[in-house]
Amino acid sequence: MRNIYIDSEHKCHPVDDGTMTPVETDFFDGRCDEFIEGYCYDTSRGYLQIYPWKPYSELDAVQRAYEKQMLAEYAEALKVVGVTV
Amino acid sequence: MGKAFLAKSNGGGGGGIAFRVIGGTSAPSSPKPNDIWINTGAEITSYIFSAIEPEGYAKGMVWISTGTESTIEFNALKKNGLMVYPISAKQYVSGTWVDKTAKSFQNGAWVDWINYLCKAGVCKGALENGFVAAQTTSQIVLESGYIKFYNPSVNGCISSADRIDVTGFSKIVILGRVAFSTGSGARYTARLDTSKPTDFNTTGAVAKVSIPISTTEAQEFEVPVPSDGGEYYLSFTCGGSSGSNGQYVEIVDIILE
Repeated sequence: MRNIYIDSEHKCHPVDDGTMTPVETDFFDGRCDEFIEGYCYDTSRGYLQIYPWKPYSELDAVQRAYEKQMLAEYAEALKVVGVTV
Repeated sequence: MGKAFLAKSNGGGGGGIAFRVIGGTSAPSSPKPNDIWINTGAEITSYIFSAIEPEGYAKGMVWISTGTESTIEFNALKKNGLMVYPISAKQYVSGTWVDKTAKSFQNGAWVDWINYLCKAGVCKGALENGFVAAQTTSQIVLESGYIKFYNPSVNGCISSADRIDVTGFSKIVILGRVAFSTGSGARYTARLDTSKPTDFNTTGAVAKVSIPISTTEAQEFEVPVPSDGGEYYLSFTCGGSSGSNGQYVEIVDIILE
């Protein structure tokens, strides 16, 4: 679970600029900040909708690049302690 | 309902034909009664009415499927009668059939063709293979007028057997409900995923919407789809419950808009 911040257009942000509404959700667990910023969190219809407002193929590419970088950093950190992956 | 075949080159309603098939990304400016507007940026080279996928196809061809579940009907001829019941439209572009939204001009207004994937619990089109238990203990019951599902123990999930191509559409509109008033609403969701989830907590959903709770009647709710389209499983999740005390989910209609 983490806090994300919703602006007046229901768009999600990883950081509050001082005007946003915080919500706690697990929907974005493991997701990078740029992925989160491509989403809307909308309760204006009386029920919750979480959906991408940016093209999903772009968000997916961003998330995959983030995960690839994370894996490279983990591998580098393990190398420091003598573990090769 | 027998299939109706009308195939011609794209163009005006010449001869005895009482309708036109017009392509474009905005509504035709001077429509005539029974004009069909196909929302497309690709040139329409021909069109065919058929209840089943045409055996032949060409680049730009529009396939207008027909059938009893149509919400539109019109007489295709200026004289005599040939009633046609269009359901949905696809166009052959880039080597495949792509769903297109369509409207008919009737009684002075553009009327949407409603693309039912499920009507009164009966699945069709992209959902013709229905739903399967993605959480193996989930129970799916076909009632009169709706699909009912629940999970007797752990949190459950049912998923469309096949991915749905949402390219060219903006949302999936669902008529359904969680049929009880207590419990955790967060467990009862409709989801779009690239692979089938097993419960409401499965990570990686592309979109997630909570199912309205109602002890009286089904409610309409919407699942926005990605603007760049794609193919996704449509799933419904539920909390663990016995089902016999009314803690189940009802799905009546599913429409691609």
